[in-house]
Amino acid sequence: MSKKAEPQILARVSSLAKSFNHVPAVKSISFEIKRGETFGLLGPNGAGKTTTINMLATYLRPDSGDALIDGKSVNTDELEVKKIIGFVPQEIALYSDLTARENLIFFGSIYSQSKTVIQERTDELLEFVGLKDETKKRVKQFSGGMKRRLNIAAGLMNRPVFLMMDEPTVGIDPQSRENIYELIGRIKEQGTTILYTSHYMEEVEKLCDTIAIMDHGTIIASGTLGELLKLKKKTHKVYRPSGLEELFIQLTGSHLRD
Amino acid sequence: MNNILVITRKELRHYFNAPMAYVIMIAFLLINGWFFGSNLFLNNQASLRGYFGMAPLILLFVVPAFAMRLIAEEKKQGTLELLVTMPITDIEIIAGKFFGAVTFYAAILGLTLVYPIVVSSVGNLDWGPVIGGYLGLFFMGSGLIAVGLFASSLTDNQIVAFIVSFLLGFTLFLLGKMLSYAPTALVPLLSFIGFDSHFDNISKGIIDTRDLLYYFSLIFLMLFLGLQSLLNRKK
Repeated sequence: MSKKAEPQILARVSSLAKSFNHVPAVKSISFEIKRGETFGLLGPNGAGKTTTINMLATYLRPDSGDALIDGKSVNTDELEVKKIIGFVPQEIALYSDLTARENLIFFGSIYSQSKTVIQERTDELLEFVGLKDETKKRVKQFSGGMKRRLNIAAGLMNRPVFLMMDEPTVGIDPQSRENIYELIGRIKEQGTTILYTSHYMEEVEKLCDTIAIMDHGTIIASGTLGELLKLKKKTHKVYRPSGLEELFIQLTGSHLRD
Repeated sequence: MNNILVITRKELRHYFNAPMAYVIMIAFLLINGWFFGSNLFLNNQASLRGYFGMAPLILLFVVPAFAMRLIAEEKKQGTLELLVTMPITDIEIIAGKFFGAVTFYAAILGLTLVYPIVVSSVGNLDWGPVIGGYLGLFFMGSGLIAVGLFASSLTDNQIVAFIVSFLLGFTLFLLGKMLSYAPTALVPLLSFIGFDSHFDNISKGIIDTRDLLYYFSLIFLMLFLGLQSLLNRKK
């Protein structure tokens, strides 16, 4: 008997909306993420990227709409969704008084895995993120890049099918950033579907198969890099953008976002 | 249940890894030791009246000092954001943290058992009020931990959490002391809400269900409010 084929779409977001104090942060957005792809959510500050990812990660409850992750609804199957996702928040989220190993063991134990499985996965991930020799140091002694890498490891403890990373390269040096790109490439090779938010064009160009550009809580353009570069914004003076950054500025404008 | 234990164990590891917890523990023992010693050696009495008389007041400062970090620290270092996206419920987080802090408090309280042991070795100690006194301190401390946990859930600033927790605890403490100034009609209500009468009854060795109900209601109410505060992030 042949194994039943898995659906090609891993995450289906339908009319998702969220407001804070009656100010809309995300306005009824819809998109789909294919299994195994890296989906980039690109947008300026305040575009609604973090709110979107926080709803998909079950941190926030949508005001309306739904998102199905591997067929499970973030509204009605919250615990089931939590079991299959991994989340790397924008801010470092680690216990600074614990060591790298203790942090991973703690997060791993929430997934009700056996001690042996947790230990093995911890060792595997510490090696994967290049912190095998730093296991006895407390996290507060780590550099920014090391903390970022450990944060990624924490998000991978349960071998998620869907990993959400919210601007994971913010505030680190170029070397650490390159190292994180390499890690993401290896996570992708393992078949993990990734949702990646950023406002750095070069990393989205480098890492993502599909890109959605968000602004003012809506998705204003989406597609592969090639498809996006063919876009011409009707309301702007028509000219073909030479790169993603140029397209981004054409679509979102050049005024400052705070 | 497994998740509650995971959180409880992590809280305990944190307490015993951090110097702050030892400072709190030593301060509690030194201050209580002073009141215990002065009663024993100056008044020459084989009783723990001095200790049980002052301990509730000391708890008003000590409990908020170790409960203030329970949720506020998780918010500050961003770990709450990660934790709540894992397969754990908010109730399990609250319960695990509460039990962790109560276990730590029980350990501090356990260290003071040296006082009755010393007294019983030099005189005839009536163990009834001693057991009652310890039970009273345990319940009062647990109530204050629940208050502290609620205060800690309101903010990511531990100092603010300490102040709110202290003020709430002090109000409950003061209510029982101010009954003579209160309108007669309000006395039974204020007496029930305040810590004083409940602690007094239990420390005399009188285990009344009303007193137990008071402490359990206080703990339940504060944990419920803490849970609502945690769930508020989703809105």
